[in-house]
Amino acid sequence: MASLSPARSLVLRLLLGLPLFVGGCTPPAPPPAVVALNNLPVDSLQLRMISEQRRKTSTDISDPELRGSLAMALEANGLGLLAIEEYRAAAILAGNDPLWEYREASVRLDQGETKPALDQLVSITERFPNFAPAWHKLAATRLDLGDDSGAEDALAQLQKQVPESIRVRTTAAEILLITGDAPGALKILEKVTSEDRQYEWAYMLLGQTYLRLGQTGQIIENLLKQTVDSERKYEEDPRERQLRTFRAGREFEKQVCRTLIQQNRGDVAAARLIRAIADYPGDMSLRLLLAQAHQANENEAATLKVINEMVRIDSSFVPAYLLKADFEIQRGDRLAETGAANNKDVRSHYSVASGSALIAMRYAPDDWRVHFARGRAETKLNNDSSALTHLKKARELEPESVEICLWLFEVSWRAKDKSLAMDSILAAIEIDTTNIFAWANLGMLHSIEGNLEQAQAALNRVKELDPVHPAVQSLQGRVDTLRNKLQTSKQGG
Amino acid sequence: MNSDQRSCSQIASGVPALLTLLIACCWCPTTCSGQLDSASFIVEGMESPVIRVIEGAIRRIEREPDSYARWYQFAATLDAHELLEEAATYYQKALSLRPDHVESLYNCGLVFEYLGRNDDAKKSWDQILSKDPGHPHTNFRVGEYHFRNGDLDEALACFQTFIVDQPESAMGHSRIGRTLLQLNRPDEALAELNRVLESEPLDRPTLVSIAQAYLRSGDREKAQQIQQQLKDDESLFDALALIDPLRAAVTVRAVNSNTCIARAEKHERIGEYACALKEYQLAAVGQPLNAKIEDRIGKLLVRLDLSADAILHFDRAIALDPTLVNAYHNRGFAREKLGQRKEAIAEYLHVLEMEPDHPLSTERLKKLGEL
Repeated sequence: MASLSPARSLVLRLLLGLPLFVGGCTPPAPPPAVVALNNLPVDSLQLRMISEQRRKTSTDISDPELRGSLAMALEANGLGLLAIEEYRAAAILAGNDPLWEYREASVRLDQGETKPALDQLVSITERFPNFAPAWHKLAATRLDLGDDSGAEDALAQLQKQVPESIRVRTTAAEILLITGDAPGALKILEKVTSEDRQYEWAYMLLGQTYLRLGQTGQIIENLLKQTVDSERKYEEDPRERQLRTFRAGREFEKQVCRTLIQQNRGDVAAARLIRAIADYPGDMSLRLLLAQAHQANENEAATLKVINEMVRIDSSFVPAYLLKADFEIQRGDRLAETGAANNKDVRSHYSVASGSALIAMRYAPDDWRVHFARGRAETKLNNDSSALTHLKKARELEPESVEICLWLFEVSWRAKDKSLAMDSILAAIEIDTTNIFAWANLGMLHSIEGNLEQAQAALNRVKELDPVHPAVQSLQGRVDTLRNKLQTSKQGG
Repeated sequence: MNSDQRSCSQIASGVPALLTLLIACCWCPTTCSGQLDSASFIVEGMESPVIRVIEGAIRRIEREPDSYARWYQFAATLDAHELLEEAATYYQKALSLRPDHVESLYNCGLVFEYLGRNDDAKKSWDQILSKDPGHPHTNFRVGEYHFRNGDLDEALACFQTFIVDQPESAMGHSRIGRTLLQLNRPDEALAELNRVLESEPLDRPTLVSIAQAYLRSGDREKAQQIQQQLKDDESLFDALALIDPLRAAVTVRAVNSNTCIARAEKHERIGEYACALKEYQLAAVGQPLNAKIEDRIGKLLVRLDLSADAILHFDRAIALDPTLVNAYHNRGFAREKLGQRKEAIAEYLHVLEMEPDHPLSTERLKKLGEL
């Protein structure tokens, strides 16, 4: 082939390069459109949160951070399919960042799209081998699908990056447990749970490991009981913790406020509930929670005000009466504890409680809670006969409640009905074999009846459940006294 | 270095190594060809949790082929799932790496016994006794061997060695009593057998032996009394079990659904509901189409105050077996617990349509004022 002149060669090169040049100048593809928010199955609080994120996103739809945030708002409020679309858009716009694609795969897993999610996780780990969260989810997903060797391979990669991670070591233990190496799992889990006492999933696996090793007993039962609804956690991605800040909605508000009340932060719960009630004035359960928040906050006036409002709005709203009964019993107890108040003042609170339960009974005659409330109030008023009637009825309607059995025990004991007292305490133990009060009372009953062997057995059980519980000492005293008494009478006889 | 290369270097190291290898090859040919093939251990219909523990044990051997502990774990896993021929092979492999491994010798002996290879079993146990003549459980097993062969004096000596270490063992006293009876020493037998009754008064075989002992000692009246009890008392059963930690370390490895269900039921009987739940959940992995297991899981979740989760399991139970009446009732009860009164009543009524005399649904409906 004849050689070309330099000038012709230049022209040819330019011509050959033209398509590339033209291609390079093509304007970039427009960012994917933002998802539409039509007819979403969410409540107004959730919609407000999502719409706010969408508004922010619309200021620059080519910003992957904004798209990702909108996706997170959608995910946090249960709109998985829309979240997948937005994560996809964020991933395209972010280019060389595995985060959004990883989150997309995670949501796909939650949606049950296992195969595409798994493929996506494999692809992410190939392209971004240092992104630990994807390796972790890949290992766990493979394990859940029964691909143990695949899970082990992914875990090996992960452990190179984060060898000290509690969550990753816990997954290593989980793999060992499932594949039959319980001693290996135990070694890891004992260490992990000593380093992090908060990770419930690790404790659940520890309990399960003990079972696989043939160890049983109350400690293991308690361990598994307390972790029965625990969930596996993954190596966190950089935005993971933000997800919860996007959660909203009426039910979520209730859940948060219940937790706040349990944590003795009734003031914070009350403020949130007042805002939520403005959005949902007809939602009685929000009002009920508000009354409980005030009650936890020991704000008696505010509690009563909310209870009265509830009754005014819906006179058949039974939980309001039940709360009032509970509230008045508490007030009476508090007053009695001070020792300053006279008996009449204390009794007046218990009477109000009983009256409130009586009104509730008109609306819900077969609701055990109503009879239980009345029974407790009557117990406080020393109306044993009436108390027994209502507590028995409550137990009949709800045979699984230990609390009812314990109240029934108390009243029947006071009313000198030993047989019912024994029945009640045995029923409590049958329902909950770990109830220390029930065992302590059983021990007391037996020691009074002179049944040394049974009293000792109950004492042993109390010690087994909690060796430092105050009941141990008092029951021990009773059992020792009985033993001495029996020995003396034996010697004497 | 892979296992083939390692094998080669062993051969090169001299004749004793070659012999060791040849012995190992006789026992476990698959290792000589390189790797264990999991397919040869997995039979049709094997449940997935069982497959996973077998494959897991194989992978651990591949990572640590020289670890006697890994081979022992593999053998024990096979043994726990009644793959006895295979288990014997790999106990032997563990023993080729550590000839004095007591757990392997003991359990290999038992596997041989189950396979009817009684003399091989005895050889295996004799290796333990050669180093530790007082080893209690091995003495018990060897005692059984002698008893079966009619060597009663040897059997008695072994059982007595066992009882020195385990003086409270009802099983041990029972064996001594039965051996003494065979040796025609009824009075001594009675003393031992009565000790068994102190801890296990409902053990039928012990009562049978006691009746025989009375007969031989000439006390016909007492013998008749016991025989009458054996005839009348329906609560008698085979109550004795040997507490054997060496064996328990093997059997506890079983993850097949029937074993899990048996363990779950045991936990349930003593109120350990969370433990029972875990066992049923593992059983459900093994038997994913068993409606009754799903129903049991649901019931336990209700017990553990997780009624919403329970409903999902009752749904699944009903989907798997629409005729499982109790699952509808239990779903109703879960709904009742969740405060869904109307839905609960509908479930109970549906149960009564299917089974008009269903006692539990009838009772709930009465309590809810609907009957």
